[in-house]
Amino acid sequence: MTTVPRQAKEPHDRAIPALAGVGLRSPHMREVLDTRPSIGWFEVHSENYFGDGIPVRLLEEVRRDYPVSLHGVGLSLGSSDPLAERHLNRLCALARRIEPMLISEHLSWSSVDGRYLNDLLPLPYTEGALDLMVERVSRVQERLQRRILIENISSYLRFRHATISEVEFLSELARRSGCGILLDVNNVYVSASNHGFSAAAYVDAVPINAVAEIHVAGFTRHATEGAELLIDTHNRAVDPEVWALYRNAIQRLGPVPTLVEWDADLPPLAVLLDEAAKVGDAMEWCHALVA
Amino acid sequence: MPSLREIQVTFQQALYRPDAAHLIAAQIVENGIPATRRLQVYRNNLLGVLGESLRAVYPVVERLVGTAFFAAAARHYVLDQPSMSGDVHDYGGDFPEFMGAFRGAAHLPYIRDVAHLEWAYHEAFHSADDPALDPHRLLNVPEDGQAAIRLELQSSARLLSSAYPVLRIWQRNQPEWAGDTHVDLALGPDRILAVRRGAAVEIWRLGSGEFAWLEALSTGQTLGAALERSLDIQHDFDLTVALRRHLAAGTFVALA
Repeated sequence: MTTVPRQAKEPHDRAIPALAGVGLRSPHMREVLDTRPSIGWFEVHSENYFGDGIPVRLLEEVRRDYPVSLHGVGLSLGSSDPLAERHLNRLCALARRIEPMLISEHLSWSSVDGRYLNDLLPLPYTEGALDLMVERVSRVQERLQRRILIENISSYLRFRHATISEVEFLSELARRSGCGILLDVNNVYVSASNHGFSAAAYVDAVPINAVAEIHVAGFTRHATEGAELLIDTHNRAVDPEVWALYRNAIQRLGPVPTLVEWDADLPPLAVLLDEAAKVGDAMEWCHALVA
Repeated sequence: MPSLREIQVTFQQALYRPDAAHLIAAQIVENGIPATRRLQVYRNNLLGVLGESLRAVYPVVERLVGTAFFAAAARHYVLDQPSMSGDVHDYGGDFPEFMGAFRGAAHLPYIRDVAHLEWAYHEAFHSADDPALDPHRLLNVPEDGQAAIRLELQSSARLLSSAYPVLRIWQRNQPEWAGDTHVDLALGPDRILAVRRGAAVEIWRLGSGEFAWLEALSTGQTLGAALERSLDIQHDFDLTVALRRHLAAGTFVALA
């Protein structure tokens, strides 16, 4: 196994300008193609465009006018099963076709014994799990012939036998595999609340040079048996506290391409674009602070 | 220390069978919230994600049985049929047979076939649109050789037949349908071709001979054998009309 050298920065990597993008979901596809709204870039879930069907044909039209980022949710990188070659082949074919500016996946697993839970499930943060993730991220990067980004997930449970913090695990994964980090500040906020760690300390510990993209999104509060769990629902506007965490992050990291995700209870496209405009406001605020 | 595989196997078991949750619960940090409550979030996600993917593929079935009934049926199906792919679009191919056998749906004898039509539409939507066979390729074959020809259909083409008028049922339960949704079940049977054409999936009602002819061709039979089969079903089947119709529409992609 060869690993992609840490310093081998792909020409694509910073090719997505440090602008706001939005997650493009199929109900908005027609309107985007008809109105060509002013937005820096779009991100889509890779699996929605697998195969050679009608969806990928529409995505090619979007790609003609906008940078596109492919964000995978189904590769199950952290699974103890063999890597899903068919899934990876489909991703490679899509990447050849769309020439995305970024390709990302998650710090998670979703399958065991060939059965998929189709969710982003938390890993026990151990040395063994880290070795597995490094090996598999490296293989994916070899197959795609480029660096990928790995995103921290929202989680609702942690394992007793974990020996490494999540941010250390993610940083080591980036250092050893050469992958970049997709820092989801909403997920940091949600997980920090669910597990009682400091979101600010997490953002401060992320290796600056590895972060190539940021996500923000909305979450939901669930009161439960005297305590509260935050759920990563992507069904509403970004929480003010997540915006505050985002401003802290870009103050430290500098401007980074930032995506607003909204997946359930999808609002009109205009509302989503307004939400993305807040990313620009935050970047300007940050710039003014530095200047 | 449990292995990663042990963690993943017991985690999965806990989502499908809450009575098996104690195995993974012992490995989870509770920190004020019981492990079972934490696992419940993931069980809800599993039911939610796969349930939503069934709703997306089977909107007409949902409309026919009602939202609450569909949700209950989908929940049974999800807990009974694991997903075998990281792409949720691959999920739900057995739902038509499941619905056909589902207790409580027996008063809708056509529900299985309507679901088959929705799955065919879904598959065609996600299939390639191959370049159509140039009609001249067929015309250039000497007449005495034509019977031995095999015609290959679009990879998106799906053929379905039902004792019920499922195409009418499907059409009258589309969101844009404004008229009467009543369908006389005596108007069946229906024979249907679902096929992707460009940026749309088209659904055609076929004559009985035409259906038998396309079905024979789709299983690799020669033009001659397919014609014989269709004439058995419909003695006045007109091969010229059927050929012209499907060559013009691009139903065929190759000739051998």
